This record gives sequence, structure tokens and C-alpha cells, in this order.
Amino acid sequence: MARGRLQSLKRFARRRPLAIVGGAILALLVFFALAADWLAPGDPTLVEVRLQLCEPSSQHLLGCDENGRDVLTLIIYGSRVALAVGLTSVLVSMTCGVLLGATAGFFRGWTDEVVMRVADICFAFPGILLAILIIFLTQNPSVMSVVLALSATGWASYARLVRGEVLRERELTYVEAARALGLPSRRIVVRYILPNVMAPLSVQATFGVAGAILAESSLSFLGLGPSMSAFWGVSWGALLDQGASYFLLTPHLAIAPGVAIMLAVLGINFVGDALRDELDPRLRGQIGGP
Amino acid sequence: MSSINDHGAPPLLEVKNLKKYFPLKRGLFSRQRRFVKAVDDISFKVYANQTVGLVGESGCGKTTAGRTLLRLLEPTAGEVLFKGKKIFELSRGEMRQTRRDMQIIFQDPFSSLNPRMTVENIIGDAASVHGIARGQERRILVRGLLEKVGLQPSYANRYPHEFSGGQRQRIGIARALALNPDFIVCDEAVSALDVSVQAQVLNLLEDLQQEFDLAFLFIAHDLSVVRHLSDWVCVMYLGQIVEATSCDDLFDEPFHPYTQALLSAIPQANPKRVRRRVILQGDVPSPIDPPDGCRFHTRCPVAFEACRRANPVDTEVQPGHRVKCHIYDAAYDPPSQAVDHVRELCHRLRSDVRPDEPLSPERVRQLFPQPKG
Repeated sequence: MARGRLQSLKRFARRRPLAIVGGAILALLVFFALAADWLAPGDPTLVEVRLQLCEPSSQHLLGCDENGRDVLTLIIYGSRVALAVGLTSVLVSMTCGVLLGATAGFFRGWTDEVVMRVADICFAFPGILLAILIIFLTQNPSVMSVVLALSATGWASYARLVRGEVLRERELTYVEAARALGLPSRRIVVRYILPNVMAPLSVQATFGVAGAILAESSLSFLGLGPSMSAFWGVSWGALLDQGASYFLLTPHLAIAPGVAIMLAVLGINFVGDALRDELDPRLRGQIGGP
Repeated sequence: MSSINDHGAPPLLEVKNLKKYFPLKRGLFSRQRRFVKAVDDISFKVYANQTVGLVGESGCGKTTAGRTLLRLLEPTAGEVLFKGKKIFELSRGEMRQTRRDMQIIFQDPFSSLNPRMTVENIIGDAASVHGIARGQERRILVRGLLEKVGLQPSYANRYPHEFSGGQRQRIGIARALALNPDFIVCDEAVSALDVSVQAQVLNLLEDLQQEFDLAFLFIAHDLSVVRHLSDWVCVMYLGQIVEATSCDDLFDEPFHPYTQALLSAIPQANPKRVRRRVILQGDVPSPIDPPDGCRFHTRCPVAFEACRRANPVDTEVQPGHRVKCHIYDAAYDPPSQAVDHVRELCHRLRSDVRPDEPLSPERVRQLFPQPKG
């Protein structure tokens, strides 16, 4: 049994090597986030003025920042913010999007009109602007406020996806049969329609995590990210912002968080690509995604 | 027009002046709202334990009629009485209760079963929702139904893709039977099956009708299938019922020129039988703007002036035999030539379209005369 599973894993790896790379990066990210306290060589809050902007060395593999904090430590802790924002904001926007999209698609009529027009507004509105507004309103920029800011517009794409799928599904004969059997609408949506929406939804959610990490980094780069704390450390975006000021002097300060962001996003997108190809054979071989 | 006196009981289902129009998307600048008149004022009755056939070409609105009278589509106008209840006035909850007694079997055995559910769940889901059977009871119910429709009870744990078309249709039938209904709409229930399987499923439906006292509305385009099963037949053309009568009457004396054309198109097994086909010209007109007057006049071989102008009404040509045609309405003074033509065709078809009875030795000798000597 175990051998059979190993065999099929090997076959999968040969077919989709990028998925394995992506999976490994993702696993590493999760590992960093969970075990940051043990893994990190230093303390993310420890400021040592004598180490300001020091070059990479055997003690400090990636050097130190302007406050003399160990950059490797900061990057390991930064995975917490990235992962937390990525997962939570996708969870929140997906939940809202599925509920609203399924309702709109199944019941049609004015519910559909209202939900989809609001979704259109969310698509048209510059997300960063709304995020700035929300973070300004919450006053204290925290992980929660960033999640809220990203979900405020993020739900729309899930709602649109789910509505489209539900519209297609509800015309299928077996859904009509379920209605003819007198099943309640909620049961029809949950048991007959949504299971068939799960495949495209999980693909979109995976890409959504990558998108949210990128968006959080942008907000942090603009100084709107979650503020620094002992648990969360500093967001990669904020590190990038800080490092950019000294780019000519010590480029590794900007390059290190930049590479971290890139690898995380790339790894998750690799996983998303593989997931899409596996779940939806019609899209196999196509480039690009949502 | 079958009335209460021939059956002694009020009808199980009564459709009165049912209309279903689908609005077309309006263009940006067009003010006029247009409709597809899929079902335009049809009325008929279904009695308990009886089968009514609804026949017509594809696109004539027979499927829409079936769905609307089950309120799977909301009607535009008209009334449906089921067991005396006005279906269209029921609340959502009452409607769900009523659905236990009225079911549907679909045409496509592939899309009508949820690919992600086991047969047990497909058949039993409604039973658990309606509180008929749960747990062990449901298992027994589902296995019993599978046996009733001629499948092995052990199939309950399988998924739809593991079955053939005929088997899937049987699963669809078992699902419809799970709530023990009184009335089932069979929407082209055998059209997607090949002929040998078709016969098996038709026989199954007949047996089930006896066993469970079912009434069927049998929607089909295949007249020989309808003839096999129906007590009463309604012929539809472009959203209207043009002829309605008992099954025997229809095949014995088809009055409407459209029915005559349909009957003459039934393939015959006997190649020696000389017959005349009524070949209709052109296509069915669009139900968006159906022709004025009689809807069939654009293709009718005997149409005369009044047909283009006036909408024919139901005429009872013989007791219980309704026809929507000006030929049978003396008020329109149909040309005698046309009347004669239709009458003649009616008689000719009677002898042509006989059920394919087993050939007697005399008939074989008659058909294939042996050279003497």
C-alpha cells in the first residue's frame, strides 16, 4: 500500500516537477511560520546598533538592517504575516463570495442584480485605494485590518466564479430532478451544485493566496501593513521598503525580502497550476490564470 | 372531450388554458417586448391510472408543457389542478409537499443523474428529506426499488457512470418512484435509448403503472411508442393542441391534416404495403411570431382562405374527439375539395396505419403471392 502510494507520487513528480517544487516551497513557508521561534537565529525585536547595515557574515547570514536586526530572522518571522494574511483573506473572501455568488446564481432576479452590480463596483474600484481607506478607518494597522481590506474587494471574483458555475449547474437535468423531488433550495445548492463548483474554486483560492501575499507586501511597502510585533515580526513588504532606501549601499537588504516574496508567490502559483491541470483537464496546457 | 361520466371520478390532473411564454432579451433600442410562445393555451385532463400521450415535432412545446404543469417552470397564464389543488397558487412549502405525488422521468439518462452521488443517494435523498425513510429503512427502500425496476440491489453503492443508458434510465425511474407518486411525467423517457432497450423500459413502465396505480403524461415524438402506451393522445403543433382523442380513435380516424401527416410518416415494417405519404413542406414556423390564423396553415396541404385569417377553435367532430381545424367547422364554409381530400386521407390512413399485428398465413400469402403452377 505504502509502496503503491510512493510509486504514484513518483509518477506524479515526473509528470509535474514544478508542482513538487511549488509544494516544497509552500511546505517550507508553513514550516517557517510555525517554527519561527525555534528556527530563527535571533530575536526579531532585538536591536543592536553596532550591527547596523552589517554585511552578510557567518553570524548573520543575510546581514543586518538599519536597526541592526538580523535579516534572516526577520524573513523567517515574516512568513507568518504572509501566510496568515494569504490564508485568512482568502478564507474570508471565499466564504463571502461563495455565499453571495451561490445565492445570486440560484435565485436570480433582483438578488442577482444587486450582488453582481456591487461585485462590478468592487472590480472597478482600485483595490489599494479602498485598502488605504479601510486601514485609515481602523486606525491601527494590524493583520486583521489588512485581511479586512483585501477581502472587501476580494470576494467579488469568487462570487462571479461561483455564480457562473451555479448558473450553468442549475440548468442541469439532475438539479431539475432534485427540484422535482421537492428538495429544499438550500439542500440542492449544498449537495447538488456546490460540490461541482469545488474544483474551479480551489484553483482560484490557491492563486488567491499568492495574490493576497503580494497585495499585503504592496500595502506594507506603502507603510500600510500590519505594524511590527514580537509574534508577527515584520512583513516582507515593510522589509523591502526599508531595504530600498539603502539599495545602493547594501542591496541584500532589499533583495532578500524581495526573493522571499517572489519564491512564496511562485511556489503557490506552481501548486495552483498543477491543481488546475489535474482538476480541470479542459484547461490543460493553457497559460495564465486568474 | 372525456368528461367525468366516462370515468366516474374527477381527473387527477387538469390543465386549463396553460400558457408559457419566454421573454426574449430586448435589444438596446427596441421597445417592443417579444416572446417565444412555447405553450399557448393548452387544456387537457389526466385520470388516475391512465396514460395521456403528448406528441409533436421537436420544438412544439411539449417538454415545456410538461415542466410547466409540474411547476418546474413558472407559467405565464392558466391553471393546473392536481387532485383538486391549484398548483400555481401553492406556497413554496405546500408545493414541496405536493411534489411527492407528481414526478418526472427525463429524456437524457446521462445528465439526469448526479455524477457525484451513489445510486443509493440519488434514489433515497428525497425519501430522507421528506421523512419517508431514514437509515436502515432507506437502505431497504432503495434496494427494493432497484429490484422493482429490474436492477440488482447491490448496485446501490455504485456511481452513475458505471451503468449503461438503459440501466441509468431505470435508476431515473426508481428515483421517480421513491416518493410513491400518483402521477409521472415521462419526458421523452425512452427516446435516448436504442430500440430493444426502449421496448424493455416501456414494458417496465407499463408494469409499474399497474403495480403502483400510476398516471402518466407520456411526452414523445415517436407515435408508435405513444400508441403502445397511451389511453388518450394530444397532438401538439407550435404550442397548441390541434387534436385530442382516445388513442384508438386517433389512429383509426386522424382528422387534423397535421395528425394525418404525422401518422403517414410512421415507418412500416411491411415493404409491400402501398401507401401515400403526406410530405409537409418547409419547417415549423418560429414560435416567436407564430403565423396568424391557424398556426399550421403555412404547411397545410388543404389550407384555404379562412385559415390565414381566423384562429380555429376546438371542434368536437365526434364525441370525445376534438380537432382545431376549419375544415370541420361549417361556419367557415370550407371548400368541398379540401374536405374531400382530408376525408379520403383519413380513410386511407385507417387502413394503412394498422398496428403491426403478427402476420397471419393468409395475409402472408396475400402479400407474397406464390407463382401458380
